[in-house]
Amino acid sequence: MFACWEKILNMAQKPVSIAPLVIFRVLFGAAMTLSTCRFWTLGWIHEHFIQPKFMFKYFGFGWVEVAPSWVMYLIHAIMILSSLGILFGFFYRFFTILFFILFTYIFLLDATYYLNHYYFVCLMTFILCFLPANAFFAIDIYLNPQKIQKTVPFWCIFIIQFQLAVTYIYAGLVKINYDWLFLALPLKIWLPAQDKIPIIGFIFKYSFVAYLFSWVGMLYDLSIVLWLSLKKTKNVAYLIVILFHILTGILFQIGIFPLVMIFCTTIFLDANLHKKILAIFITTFYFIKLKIEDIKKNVVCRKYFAANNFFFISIGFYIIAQILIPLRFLFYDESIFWTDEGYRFSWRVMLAEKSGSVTFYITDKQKKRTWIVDNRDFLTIHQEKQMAIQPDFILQYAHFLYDSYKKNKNDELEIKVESFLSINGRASKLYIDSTLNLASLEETFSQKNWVLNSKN
Amino acid sequence: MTLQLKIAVLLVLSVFIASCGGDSGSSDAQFDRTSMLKSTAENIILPNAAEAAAKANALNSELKSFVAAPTGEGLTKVQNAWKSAFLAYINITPFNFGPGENGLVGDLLSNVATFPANTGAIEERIVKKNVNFNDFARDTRGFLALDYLLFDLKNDNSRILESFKSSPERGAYVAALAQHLASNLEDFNTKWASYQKEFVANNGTSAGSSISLLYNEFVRSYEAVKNFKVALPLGKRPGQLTAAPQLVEAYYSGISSEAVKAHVAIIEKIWKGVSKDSEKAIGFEAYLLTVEGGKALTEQTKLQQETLARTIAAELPTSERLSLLIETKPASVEKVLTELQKGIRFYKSDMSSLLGISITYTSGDGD
Repeated sequence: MFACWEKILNMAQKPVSIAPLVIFRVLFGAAMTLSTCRFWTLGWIHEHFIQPKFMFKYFGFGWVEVAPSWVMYLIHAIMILSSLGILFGFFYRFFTILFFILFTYIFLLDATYYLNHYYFVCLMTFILCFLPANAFFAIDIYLNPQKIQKTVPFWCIFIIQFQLAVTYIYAGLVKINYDWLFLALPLKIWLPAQDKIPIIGFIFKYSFVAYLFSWVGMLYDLSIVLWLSLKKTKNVAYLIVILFHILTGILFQIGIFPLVMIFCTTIFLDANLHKKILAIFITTFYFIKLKIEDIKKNVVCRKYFAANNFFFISIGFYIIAQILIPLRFLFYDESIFWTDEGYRFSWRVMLAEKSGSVTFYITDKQKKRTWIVDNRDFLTIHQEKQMAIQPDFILQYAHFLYDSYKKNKNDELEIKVESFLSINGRASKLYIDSTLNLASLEETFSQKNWVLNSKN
Repeated sequence: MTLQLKIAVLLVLSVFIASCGGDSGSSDAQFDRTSMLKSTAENIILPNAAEAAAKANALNSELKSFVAAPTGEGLTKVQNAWKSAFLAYINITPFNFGPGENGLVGDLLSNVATFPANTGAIEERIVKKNVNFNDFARDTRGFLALDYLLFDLKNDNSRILESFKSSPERGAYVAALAQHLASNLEDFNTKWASYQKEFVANNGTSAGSSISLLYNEFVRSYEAVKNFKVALPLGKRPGQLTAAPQLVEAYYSGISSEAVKAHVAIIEKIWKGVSKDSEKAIGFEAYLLTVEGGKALTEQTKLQQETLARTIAAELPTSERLSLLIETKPASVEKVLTELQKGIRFYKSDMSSLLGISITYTSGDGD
């Protein structure tokens, strides 16, 4: 047992080139800068955080509140600044932690904007807080040359690779289901809608293309990390990564994230390649005085960051948690497609076409009146759409309505809902038990028995 | 490389097996969205916009001569012109996008058809001779302000006539209202003629594409009939303690039921693809028929449309004021509300899903 642990520790601390980590830092920082600027210029700060009258919360994070609008803009400005700090390795530790905190805050504000990729960025920046990614090719080193490092312990590279592996492999595993593989759903719905794409658009009218894409997508997600890891295949695999993400970027409205994945997967490439690229940069930009040669004589691998047992046990826990969290749907009886229990934080990327319609009825028992709620009085179209397909949001909104319309202490209000859900283009079915008073239900992690059985 | 070769072979094989075995009668037919957009623009939107503009202009000129010399005969003419202009406008309410949403003080719909009219504010404006309509007091202008000024609840036309004879300010205000209406609808009409090309060319399905704009406003419009034209006067909006019959659309003229009927009819026409002259056009139905699962949905939807039309015909007689009906036979009106509600799911959850239309206004940021 201990011998095994020792072995793992030795492997984890084995010095490897810092170059992949440094390039990762630069690319990740650049992607975050781009992403935040894009978010701002598209007017999404206003649309996502200032316009909505009600925001949906993550379980346990109900206390995260939106700030006044000028603060929201300020936060994004600081995020842009921080991401530049990451990119250039300038006050790297400070800016990485700052970016992590601010990005996570933004992420937690409204759960209807949950995206697997936002979660991925949260995790990545969290990891980056612990890594010495600024120990080379960074302004911090220019200012403070004796902190230079040519190598890092292996775990610094591994943990990033691991996170990417979890993301891809789970995204692949969840695609192994009947709809995806044997009915080519939802791609059979999504692809024909893309028939106006230049040059290749015409192929999407053929249903075999949907099958092809479904299977290729599944195999790609499942195995790409393996191909990226094997010495023989990694370069070809990286070209496939680029092709794959460019294609999905064209086909689906997924913004900046194909770029993020193309950037992040460079961590798998051969360290010598990274070194060469760095060398080109360093010789091109003369103001970075540190030549490769200086570094060669200069540096030994320093043990980074009080790498004690406790730290490695923490990493172990992180790894186990990342493996277990996506599996929590196994504890629920119903199909995860239907109930959405266990959907978030599980890398279920673009897996099903879901849409629903939800109408809330408020009954004031004393006044003996039943009212119909117009969701657009409180929600944006996006929020309404997301709420309609996720039961915990329906419940949250029901509680919000209860609180909004309970004017007096003695009012007895009942909130009921008539909701229909359609998955992968099938005829919609009644979703939530319409006889229940949602105001009397509480959100928990246990099975939601108020969500009707999908087979009804 | 050999590994990849193996993978490739495996891949091709499995896809082959999958598409041969699992597929049951999927159609490879491709729907031509461009022709649907073209047809909707040419056969439904443009002719209805032209008619709405023409009728509003007619109302404007009728009103001008009436205000110059108010007579009983003139008033009847004006009232008829208003009715047909208003019903003509209803046919373009679902197209509140593109040229419809570009106004400085809001979209076309809220500028010309906000209800209920704010009668107190209207009277105040008349006294102050305030005919500047470039503000956000939308409930002091548009069709429903005219509804208040031109019609008497008890059909007492002599009272209305007297009000105009005794107050030239009232006449001036009404004339300005009609002018504002006419220019807004004329503007919509001319702008659509030039927007048409862009509308047809923007033939994708992503957020901001013409099909998603059309779809979004289509659903919003249908919901508006349910929420504002029926549920609101029934007292079904949250917080309402009693029915509020005075909140029906077109309360004073009393053509509320006719308006509801017209609104439901245009929604159905857009969906089915029926031109202004009741000719065949291409609508959502044709689109749905080309996608998997679409046939079942169109059948269900049509069934509900028929039920709704039947219920409206039986329960909302146009001879009776909706406001009175709500007081005397609320159950009848509630039946209509129920049927409107039943239709929501077909338009809102099932249809957008099947068509792969992006129903948010802006694109997403990943998944």
